Amino acid sequence: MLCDECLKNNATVHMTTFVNGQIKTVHLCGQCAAKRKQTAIIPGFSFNDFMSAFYDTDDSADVVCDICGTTLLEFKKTGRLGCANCYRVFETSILPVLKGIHMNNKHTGKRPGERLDIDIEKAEESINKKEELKKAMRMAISTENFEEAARLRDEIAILEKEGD
Amino acid sequence: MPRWLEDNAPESDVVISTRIRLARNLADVPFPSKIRKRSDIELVHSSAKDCLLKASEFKYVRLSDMSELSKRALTERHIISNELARKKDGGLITSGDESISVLIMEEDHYRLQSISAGLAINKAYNAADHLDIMLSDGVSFAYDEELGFLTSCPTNAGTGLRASVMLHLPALTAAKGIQRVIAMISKVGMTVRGAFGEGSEASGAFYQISNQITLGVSEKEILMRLLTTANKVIDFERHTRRELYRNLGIALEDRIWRAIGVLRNARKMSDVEAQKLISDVAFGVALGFVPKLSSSTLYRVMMDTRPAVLAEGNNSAQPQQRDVVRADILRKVFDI
Ligand SMILES: [Zn+2]
Ligand SMILES: [Zn+2]
Repeated sequence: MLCDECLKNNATVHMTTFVNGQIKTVHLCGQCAAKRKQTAIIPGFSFNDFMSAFYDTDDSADVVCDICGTTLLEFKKTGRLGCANCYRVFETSILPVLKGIHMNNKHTGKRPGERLDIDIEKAEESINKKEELKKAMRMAISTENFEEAARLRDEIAILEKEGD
Repeated sequence: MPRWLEDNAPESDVVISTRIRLARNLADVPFPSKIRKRSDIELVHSSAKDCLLKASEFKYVRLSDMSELSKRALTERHIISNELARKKDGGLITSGDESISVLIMEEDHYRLQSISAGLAINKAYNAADHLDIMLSDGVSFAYDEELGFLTSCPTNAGTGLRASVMLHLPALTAAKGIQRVIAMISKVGMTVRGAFGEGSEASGAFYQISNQITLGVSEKEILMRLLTTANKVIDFERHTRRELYRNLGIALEDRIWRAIGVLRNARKMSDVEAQKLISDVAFGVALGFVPKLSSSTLYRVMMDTRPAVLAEGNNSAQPQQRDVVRADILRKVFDI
């Protein structure tokens, strides 16, 4: 079998990837495999972990979404859901997977129609300033300059209130 | 061609662009992979048109009405994905300068996109947020109090937000520092990948950093983390550039001027070769060797000479003519 990438050398490495919801096996020669390793997508978690989390679940009984017809097995294979209702129907299978991928399962972002008016440069500035003030406060405490430490503590408290 | 590129964008010696993407779906219509009724597909298109075309600067197009070449050009300019280009029911809404776009019927009903030149996270996010609000005024989204915005792939659920920056990291690439960047980035829930050439070799030292986590974190937290990470990588790249120059000196200058020499004299040039050479010159511009060129000029010419973009702008030049046309364009730009 020829290497999928260079179409020249014999393929010796067989990698399974999960791209755009599709599982693909690519056959590569040693050189192309090494190249790909250097530049491949290297996320905090791998999609393979994401998929194996599915395979760990018990799939003795297949469940079907009554709205769009997606089955649990189909979801396990493609990683895609068919409609909003699927989230409810496959809840017990999805929640542990979501937890594995994300921080936790509780949405903390905006609601539909909410305007955010993001100003992160300002937010970052205030974090840096807070760090500086905290350093100065520790310094003041270590030199027993308690009046100054108290003043700094109040200033930090004000900054903390401003940043939600 | 990418008209959103502008001169003197923030941190443009390292950052080419900032991109925001929000995934959204209508509440009572199956996701694109399971949509069956013609009327549902039409509803997805018409809802977006009704809500967004009020702003006269937007235009709508059905992908089935576009030539293959125009679709390829859009993918090369990173406006649409290959996946959308292949879909017969896909649609696209764009602003005049393509800084704002809505992909219709890709993996989700809508992907709201905003691109800004340089490191401009606030600007890019707020533009996408504005689009999100315009759309939400007229439709109800698939949304759950616990899980947030519901998406076809659960990896996008929650905020539905993918925020990314495209970086030019020639020094880190040359000094083999990319592995350290990758290690640093994956620790904070971010991912890095080559910006050109899907999955395979990153050509010309261009990379994209984006968030991986979309649920359980707020938009602000995601964007803050991207900003902090980008700033670290920018510092690391600038530091490595100075180090490389200190160590290589004339050898580095030589490589950059040789690249300019080829670009201003070649009569035929492939896309891959052009990208590598332009990447070298961009490194030189950042180090201050080439005062007559700016980073944005280089990023622009790099985009303009990608195969389909180039063919689209030059009477559909056939593949064998493209290398000649490309060399012609480059000779003019690098005749300094
Ligand atoms: Zn090979
Ligand atoms: Zn369903």
